[in-house]
Amino acid sequence: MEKLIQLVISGVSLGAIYGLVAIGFVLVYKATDIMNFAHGDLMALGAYFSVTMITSVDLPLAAAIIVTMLFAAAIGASIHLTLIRPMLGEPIFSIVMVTIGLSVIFRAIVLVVWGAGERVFSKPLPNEVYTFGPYRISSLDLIILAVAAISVAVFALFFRRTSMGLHMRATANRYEAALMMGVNPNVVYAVAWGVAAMMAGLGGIFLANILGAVSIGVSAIGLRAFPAAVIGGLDSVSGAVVGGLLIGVAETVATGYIGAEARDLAAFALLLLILVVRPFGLFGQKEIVRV
Amino acid sequence: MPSGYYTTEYRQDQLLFRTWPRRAWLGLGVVAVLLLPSLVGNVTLDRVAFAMIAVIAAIGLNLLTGYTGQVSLGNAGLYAVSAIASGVFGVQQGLPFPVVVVLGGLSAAAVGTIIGVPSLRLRGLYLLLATLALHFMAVYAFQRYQVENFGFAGVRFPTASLFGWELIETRDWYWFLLGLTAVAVLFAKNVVRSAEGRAWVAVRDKDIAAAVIGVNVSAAKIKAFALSSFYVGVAGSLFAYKLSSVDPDSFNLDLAIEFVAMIIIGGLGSIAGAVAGAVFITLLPDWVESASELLGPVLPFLDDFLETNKFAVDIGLYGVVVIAFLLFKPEGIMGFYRDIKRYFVRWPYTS
Repeated sequence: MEKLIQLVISGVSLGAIYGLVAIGFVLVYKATDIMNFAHGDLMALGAYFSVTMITSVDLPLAAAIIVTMLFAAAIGASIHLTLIRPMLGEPIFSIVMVTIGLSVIFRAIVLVVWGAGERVFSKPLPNEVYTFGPYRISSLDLIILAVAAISVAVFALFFRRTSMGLHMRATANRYEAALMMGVNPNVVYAVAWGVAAMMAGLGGIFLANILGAVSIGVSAIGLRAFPAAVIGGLDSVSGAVVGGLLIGVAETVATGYIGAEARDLAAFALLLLILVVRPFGLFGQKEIVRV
Repeated sequence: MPSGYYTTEYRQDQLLFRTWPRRAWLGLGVVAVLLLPSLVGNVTLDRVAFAMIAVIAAIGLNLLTGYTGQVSLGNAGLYAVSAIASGVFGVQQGLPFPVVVVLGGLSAAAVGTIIGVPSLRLRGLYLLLATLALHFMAVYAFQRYQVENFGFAGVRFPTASLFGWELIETRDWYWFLLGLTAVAVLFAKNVVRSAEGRAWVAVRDKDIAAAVIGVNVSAAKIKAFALSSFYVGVAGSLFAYKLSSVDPDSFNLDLAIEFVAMIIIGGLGSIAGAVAGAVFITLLPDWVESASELLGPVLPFLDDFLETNKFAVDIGLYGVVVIAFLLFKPEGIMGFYRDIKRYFVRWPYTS
């Protein structure tokens, strides 16, 4: 029982990262109906970029995080403007395939620029371990959980209280009607991609801190944002975080009791179960298809 | 002169190669593949052998995605399934190679049919995620199977032997795979122009309309999943025997993405496109190599770059090629072929 509770505690902080990444994933899906398969590689790109900012440019940690987030946002917005915008109106599968191609290209870029070896985070986030009776929790876990909670609150406010959030919801709801009300969908989509990439970059930094080093494996871990987003419901931001927590806990529990190779299995078995039983996720809106 | 459009008898309609230029091209193609082993070295021939295995898998995937409109990223997973089946029947039971290949195909078909069931409910991207889940589960199953029966070194396969004909030399593999690929192409071509294949295309274009004109949509989807998975499974068994030793890394997600890239670059909904795409993607690294040899004297900087980053360039390049095709030529290589054909057919009224 003690082992289980400890596993759940570490699972929650891992899951909070999945949640952060899944938020970006959900943002793109909500605005554009596209699943972004390059999301995990955006994470890796952000993590590597932040390492370079810290070691080569010698920025303080906070500044490096902010610069990385801006860099990622610029990449995300330019993905939309150069690759996705010309594809509007094509079948969704073709657009998704573009993001798959993009993920391969990002991986190649990371290999060329940073090489295949691991990079160490020389200025890590504070990682002190607190003990409560038999259980351990680190300050890193607490920071990540706090950031996830703040992100959910910020996005809830963003969608309800800002005009850009309203524009985004309008475009997602009915493209033509939004167009006629004077919403510029190109700006909306570019912002959605930019913010999504920003969240991916942030998630990448946190993940690198938890793993202790940046490696190309970060992008493979980013793949698990899919099950997180689908379980929460592809169009629900708070659902994404809940889904991320569920996936994180399922994974660490499976790793603890079965072995490390069961991680992917746990996440994707949960995904398959949700897809068969409740395809629109726990908090998503049911999609109604009319002829 | 026969145009390929105007027919006076049903027999002409049924011909695969209707006009004499097409028959001439067919003849040229047959001569080319027959002469290939004496023209190229063993290394290239080996790549061609792998390309032909990929052709079989790509045809299978194109039957599903190109003709029936069901997307899938589960093909590396199906490779893993048929590799398990080949391990059980070929290595542990010691059954003969042809039987193992068929059993590998059938096992993959069984798993593919099961994955096809959610496709009755799930559409588009949700189906893509379900097949992604299949991928990870199949690779996990393969890993457990390998560790429990063979240890950590990977599953080793014996020499493939076809009724006493041992496939040891690359040349033997080439002739065997050439025959098998020809059968696979012909069978697929005939399936897609039969009633069954036309039903699949109807489901792809508009499933509700297909149901209205009397197509059993569920049955069509399940049959497409079964046949497609059988093709992929056969290719998976051949792949395992050809490599002679496989481990879970042989079936990574990149392999699944490569298959999708093949049918997109070749052309969705076309058997010839699947062949062209599979050959193109499999031989891409070799083409990069020859290009860097050619450019070496002119641009030494580029040559050095290709030399040090070979792996990254290989994977990055196919990402670039996929995106370029999607943006500028969504019909794939077959689109170029159709453009050229249209130019000559309509001449002198071509713009």
